[in-house]
Amino acid sequence: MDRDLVERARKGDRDAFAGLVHQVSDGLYAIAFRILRDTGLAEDALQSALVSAWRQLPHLRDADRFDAWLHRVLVNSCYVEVRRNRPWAANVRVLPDLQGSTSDESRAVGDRDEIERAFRRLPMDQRAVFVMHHYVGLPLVEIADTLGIPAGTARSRLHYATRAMRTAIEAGRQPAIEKEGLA
Amino acid sequence: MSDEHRFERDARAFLELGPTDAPDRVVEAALLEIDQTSQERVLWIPWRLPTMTPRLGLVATALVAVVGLGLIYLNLPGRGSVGAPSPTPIVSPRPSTTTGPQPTIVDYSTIDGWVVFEHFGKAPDGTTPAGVEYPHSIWLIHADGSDLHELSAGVPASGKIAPDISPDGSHVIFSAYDSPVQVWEVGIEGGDPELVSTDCSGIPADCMDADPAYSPDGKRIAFLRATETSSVLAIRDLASGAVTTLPSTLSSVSNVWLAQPSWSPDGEQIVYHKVVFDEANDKIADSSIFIVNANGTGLHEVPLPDDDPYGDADWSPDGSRLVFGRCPIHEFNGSCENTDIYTARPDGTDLQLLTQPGVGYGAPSWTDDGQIMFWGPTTFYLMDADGQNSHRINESGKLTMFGETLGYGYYGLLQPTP
Repeated sequence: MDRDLVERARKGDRDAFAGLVHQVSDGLYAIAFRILRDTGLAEDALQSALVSAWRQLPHLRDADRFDAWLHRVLVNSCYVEVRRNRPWAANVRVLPDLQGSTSDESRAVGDRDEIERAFRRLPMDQRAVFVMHHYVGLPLVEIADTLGIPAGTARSRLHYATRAMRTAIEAGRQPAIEKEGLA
Repeated sequence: MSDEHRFERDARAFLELGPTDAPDRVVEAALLEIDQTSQERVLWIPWRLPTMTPRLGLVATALVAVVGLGLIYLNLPGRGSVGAPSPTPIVSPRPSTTTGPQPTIVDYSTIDGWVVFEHFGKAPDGTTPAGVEYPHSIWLIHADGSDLHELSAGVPASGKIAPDISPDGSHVIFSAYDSPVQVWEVGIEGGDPELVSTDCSGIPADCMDADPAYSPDGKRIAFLRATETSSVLAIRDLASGAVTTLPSTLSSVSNVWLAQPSWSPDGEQIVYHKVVFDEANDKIADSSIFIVNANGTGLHEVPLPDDDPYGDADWSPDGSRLVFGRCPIHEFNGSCENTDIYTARPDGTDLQLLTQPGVGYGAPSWTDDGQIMFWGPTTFYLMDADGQNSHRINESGKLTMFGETLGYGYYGLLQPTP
């Protein structure tokens, strides 16, 4: 991250902040999508996070912590988007029912859908930790610091998310193993 | 491959799926919105508090813990005054903790007229527009909880703060929350607010008008006129629009802020507070209460114990006392562990603590009939001038209606002559 841009943006330089926006938007959007699993929500979360970041930037004391701070702003925006859209949650896209399909391709899609369903069942705070760990690649201590939660809380959220996802992945793998065994 | 590695691989593979490029239209829309959005500058414009809400949560938790310890302490044998070095001993009625006969409970829900209050947070009726995080607005409600509504929603667009009600109860005057920071006035029944600060751009670098307070005859307002680096008390004649600044109150230091003027009932003097911010952490380094004659002469500090930041003073209807808070609420910013309410004579003597320490009360104001209205945890209270009969307005809880984002620093006022 360009520290000079952060410092200038912190002092109200809109051009500097625009420069930062172009640097970080893709990464933030990718994270938002992976937490929210919905492009519309992810777009709204990104826009909201960028505006919030601009507004709140003067509160950032250490420019070197901009990335971590921005991730927290983004995750909070994701939470807000989910809360805002909760009444319409039933309208999310229904995943295709591939039960009974036998081709390798459709089986792979079916496995992914099983994982997708499992991920969507996770609470948002667990999703955020899971994505920060497995997608962004942050260790638990940094996740805790980024999200402003105790390390133990980050660990337990990752544990529960991992358990749920592992179950889904194993369940997705099981029919294929059985099928291979029968072949 | 171990199960663990296989899971990590599968998890990464799952998460790799999906878009990685932000749509240009979203980025452009964000930049457009940013162009129209001001940054929060808590040092120069200290009323921008809501980003401190998470911190407030921690403070509130600590305060709750302190309550328990405080109650134990207060009930220790031989417990006397709170020990502040006031000219006379502090009296601490603590009505809610007395063990003797309980005072008569007053049914405040029968109060006529409007309760007018500023509100930081999600709209109390659940109507916060999507995409709006922290609207700053002014709301009205009857004491029985009926007819909750926002005063002139959406005007000005930058939000409202610091309301005052005209002495005849017919109008509300307030300042805009964000740039352009100007003073507006509107009938208490609503309608289109009228810009009062016609001679002030409201731009922080140029001129801001804030914290208006009606004179007792309703013909003038005292208010703060400021830039990013200076602030001075001023008086505006509402009929002519003429502004007279009070040069003796001028502060030309960027981390000093004047706030919350209130007139003496004879219209001869104005009380206000001056906050000094610690530039290292934006917290209050000091806050003191001052009195100045309306002609700008006679400026002096109200002598109070030095170790507490006092502010939000309001003059009693009979002129005999000031009510004020420890830690001015708009500038609170996580600065104080205890926000309590006191009264004292205008010369600083006979200091009395009226509220239970450690709970968190603030933003007091006198009602027309000599009671004190103030903000407490999540709602508004009334109490007698001596702290007795402290009681939530509307026990039904309809005034405890703050939404998802619990803000703080609410100034509530009771319509003077409904």
